[in-house]
Amino acid sequence: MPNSFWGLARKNLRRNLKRNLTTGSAIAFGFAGIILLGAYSNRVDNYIRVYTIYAAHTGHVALFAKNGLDKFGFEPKKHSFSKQRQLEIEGLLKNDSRVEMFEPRFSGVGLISNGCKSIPFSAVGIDPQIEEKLMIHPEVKRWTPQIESIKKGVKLVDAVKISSVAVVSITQKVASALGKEKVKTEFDTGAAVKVVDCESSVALPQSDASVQFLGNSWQGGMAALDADVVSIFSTGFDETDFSAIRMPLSVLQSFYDTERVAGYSVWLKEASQLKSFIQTFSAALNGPSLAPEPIDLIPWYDESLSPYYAGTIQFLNAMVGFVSSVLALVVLFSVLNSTTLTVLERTSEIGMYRSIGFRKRQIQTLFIQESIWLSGFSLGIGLISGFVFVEMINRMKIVYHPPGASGGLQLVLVANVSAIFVWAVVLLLLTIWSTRFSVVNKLKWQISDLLGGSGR
Amino acid sequence: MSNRPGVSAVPIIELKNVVKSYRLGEVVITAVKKANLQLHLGEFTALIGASGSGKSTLLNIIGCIDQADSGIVTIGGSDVKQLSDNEKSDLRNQKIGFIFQNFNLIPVLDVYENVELPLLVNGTVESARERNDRVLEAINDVELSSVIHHRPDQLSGGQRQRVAIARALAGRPSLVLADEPTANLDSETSSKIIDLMIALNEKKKVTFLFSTHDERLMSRVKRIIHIKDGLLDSDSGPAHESGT
Ligand SMILES: Nc1ncnc2c1ncn2[C@@H]1O[C@H](COP(=O)(O)OP(=O)(O)OP(=O)(O)O)[C@@H](O)[C@H]1O
Ligand SMILES: [Mg+2]
Repeated sequence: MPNSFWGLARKNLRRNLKRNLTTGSAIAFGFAGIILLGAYSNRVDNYIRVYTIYAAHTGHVALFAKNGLDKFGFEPKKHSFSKQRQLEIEGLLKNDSRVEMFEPRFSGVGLISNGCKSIPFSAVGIDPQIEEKLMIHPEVKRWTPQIESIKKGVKLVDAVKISSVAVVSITQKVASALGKEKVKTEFDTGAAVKVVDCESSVALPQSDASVQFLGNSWQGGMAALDADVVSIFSTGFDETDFSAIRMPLSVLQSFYDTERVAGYSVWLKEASQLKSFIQTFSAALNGPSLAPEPIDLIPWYDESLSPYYAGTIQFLNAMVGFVSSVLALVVLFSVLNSTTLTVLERTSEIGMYRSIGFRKRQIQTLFIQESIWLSGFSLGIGLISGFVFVEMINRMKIVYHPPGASGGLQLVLVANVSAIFVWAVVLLLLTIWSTRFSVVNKLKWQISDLLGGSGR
Repeated sequence: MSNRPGVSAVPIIELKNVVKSYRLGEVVITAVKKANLQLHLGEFTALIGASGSGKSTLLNIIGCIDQADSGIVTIGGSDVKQLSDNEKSDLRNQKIGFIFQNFNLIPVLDVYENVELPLLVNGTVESARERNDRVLEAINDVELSSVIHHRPDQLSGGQRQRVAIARALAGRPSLVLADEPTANLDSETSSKIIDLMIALNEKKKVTFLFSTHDERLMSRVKRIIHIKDGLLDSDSGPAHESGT
């Protein structure tokens, strides 16, 4: 018994061409809109994900001493790892095949000064080698190519090799506050340090790249350090750019006079192994053979660890989800309206099919095949126009300024293929379901009633 | 059982005490009252009655597109009540042909495709060639070969009804039911359609049962059943053929 009527179904679409064109356009535009939105959210999501994990040195997993994330800033000694513990942890991390790389986490606050003027700093200690690896990571190359976190000067990894004193990277805002906008390499390396005349009423040109740090040592005393500014970088955010500085981890540790670290940023080879890593690594670290020092393993997307990521994504998902749902609803209503009307005006036709021997299931199949033709064709049009729009927008090179971010970003859309597939299936099922729903209701009728006044 | 020449002894349709009523709010209208009827292969029968007399109701019950409240309807030896919905579909597809007053053609399909429709779901027609042969034969029978690729809106009323007749014939049914097939046609075209049906009955032995309220057709029909207020009277017709 034949059960498919693709040819008949296709021809039947000509029956109410106007309505089918309207419905088809609704599906196509709705789908194109969903593709655009998805491309936008996909792009932003990946951008700030990669930014958070790599550029911000968060890692896929942040490892802290128990409660260290919240309390390290207040009681650093209590919520940090001893050298002994560091060796244990690093040994385990090195032997874990899932781990791509790791970096100790260390940070501190104090005052940075040009000799006349001091402002507070918030310093992050980084491993210059890791910094180097992160900057050329494929994920970074793919999703955040325009993040040039170093605006000027040399990377810390290179600076360490050439400088005889401590080196530091500061943000543009800190640099202009201190009048240290020229970096070390812009001065003659051999030049002697000149004393700044703070009383002078005339603005003097910057004479060197030297800054001084002041802070509290972990051992209770005061800590001071001279360093050369070797580069200007940006955290990517206005708020943190006011006080952020970066120094090699070992320099920062010796400034605070400690060997301890706050924790570790751990990058995995496969992001999909995140959950299993958190489970098993925690068990291994707290295993009986090791000192029972409890730790926290926090995934990168956790709100307390990456508030910017979490907040932005929540907002983005809410917005994109809302607009997509509105689009999907518009499509749904358009499709429902069309299928209901189609089935309604074709009541006596359904009666005719029944009277010449079509089984209920066959009529249902016929109508569903009609709607598959219609929605399949429309989804195809929507897919093509969606990609064309994405391409057009990318070529227009629109620069926009997201709130809180320093500098402009180019609006780049990257279509999310798997989401497009899911939405296409959803929209297809939607039309099939709504057709099925109307037809099945009609098929409950007596055939003589379907044929109606006209048939009798 | 039958004394009519060319008519087989075993009835293809048999109604016994068939009753059908409709309820409209408080009012119950009995559209068909205790109908008894036998139809044999090769017969050409008219069901004549005034508007509202129950012609359509009776034809619908015979054609399995409506259900009787009580009584027994036997088609080709099987009790309709015992059949599943799919079995009834197959019965309509293979044993019964329908012709409607308003033709009920699909506007986007041409003559060929409209006639082909019932064969799309006919499980006994397996090869595409056989299907094609049957469609062409049916179209030839109603003399529409010259407009085979025209769509309904390019045809006259009489031609459209011929398409409907061809569609009813394509499944080679043992019985063709036609509910006022000429009601939407002018009298000249009507009589041509009746001529065609008579010719098909004589040449191809197609069994016809059609309803009409047009008394002028009476003289041209072998067997006439009158229906009045849901009641069937005894058959009437040309004297030598009366009585069952
Ligand atoms: N679906 C229905 N609901 C209620 N009453 C109905 C229904 N169908 C038919 N009837 C009633 O049953 C009676 C017989 O109707 P039927 O349509 O069989 O008559 P008919 O002889 O075919 O009339 P016509 O020549 O006008 O087509 C009428 O009184 C009609 O009002
Ligand atoms: Mg009627």
